[in-house]
Amino acid sequence: MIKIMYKWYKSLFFTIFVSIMISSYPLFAEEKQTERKPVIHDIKLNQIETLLSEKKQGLIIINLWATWCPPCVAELPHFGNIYKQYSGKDLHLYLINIEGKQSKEKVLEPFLKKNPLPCPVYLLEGGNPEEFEKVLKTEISGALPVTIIYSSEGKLIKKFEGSITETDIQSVLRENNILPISKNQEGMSG
Amino acid sequence: MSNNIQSKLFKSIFSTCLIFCVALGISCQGKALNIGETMPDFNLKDYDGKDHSLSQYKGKTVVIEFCSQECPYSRGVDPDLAKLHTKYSNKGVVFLGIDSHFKTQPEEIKKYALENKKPYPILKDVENKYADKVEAKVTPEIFIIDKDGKIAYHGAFDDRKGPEAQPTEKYTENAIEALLAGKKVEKAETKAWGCTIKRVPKN
Repeated sequence: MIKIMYKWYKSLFFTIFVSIMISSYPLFAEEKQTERKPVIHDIKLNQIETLLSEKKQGLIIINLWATWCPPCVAELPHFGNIYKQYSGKDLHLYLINIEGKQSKEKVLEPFLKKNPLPCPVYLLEGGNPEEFEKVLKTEISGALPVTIIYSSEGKLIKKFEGSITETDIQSVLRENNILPISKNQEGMSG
Repeated sequence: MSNNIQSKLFKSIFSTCLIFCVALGISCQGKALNIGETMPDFNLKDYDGKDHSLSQYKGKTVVIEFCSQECPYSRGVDPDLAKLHTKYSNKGVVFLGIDSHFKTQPEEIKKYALENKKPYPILKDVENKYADKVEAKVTPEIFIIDKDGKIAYHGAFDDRKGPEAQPTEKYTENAIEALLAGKKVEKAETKAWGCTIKRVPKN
């Protein structure tokens, strides 16, 4: 008798479990659909050359990174914060991933879904470190991450090889008279 | 007669200038090693405490990989380097890993090497002295030394851009093939994406 009861309970439990799984599936599916697709722009070396030669207001920050590089991944949120703090006119931020086109769907998109960023990400087409040097106007050892800051005319201001902090970026921006949006407004009202 | 003296004088001035310029050029160039230069010798211990020097492998082709088990990119390349070891070690090619990460200890290297069945010795470059000497900057970074002890290839392992990505050009293997065939390495210098070699902090 007890054995039968036990069997019955077991099957009931199993049925409930399965039905919950089935009924909740559409919920999961819906959630997946509403998830924002990360913004990834393809970029070529000659496009980087162009963006460094176009005259514009503010500073240009280029950060080279890869998902397999732990210090790169660690500093991405810093760039996200910086992007939110400054006006798009003053700060042109290019987070350029070097992993190549074949990594886009398999590696980069899933990574950015897991680690969302408020700013777009650029995916470099081709480009070995040695090809990069001419375009970036500086020596590139190949070690990641590397962050290079340029003036509005595309003149190199500062190069950071290795990790960078929010304060590092902020101080370079401040030295070049670029202030965060809120502070800028405070400055204007005061 | 006077013409002869004049030409001799010119020749000696010219050669003095030449020597001076070359010397200046060398001194200004700094430490960075070029293809065809002699690879500086080393005396390093592997994770079992066994001594290795570059000079002991003279007459053989030596493939050196600056590696770090802390670096995902370096770890990604390692299995392919092991495959090259299987393919070429019986053809007179020596494979050596050099770990210059200032924090990594020989015991940790040993654990990693045994767990991942590394078929070649990994040497500990204490306080990244050898990496400084040859100006190695990233992991993985490859140096291939020919039978005469000269640098025949320096740069990336291959042209992959992620640890598990498929390469389109196998720089290291191509260089080994060329050297074994007695040919010149076509692409003797490339640059590697990778992790910075973590050096002893300077104060």
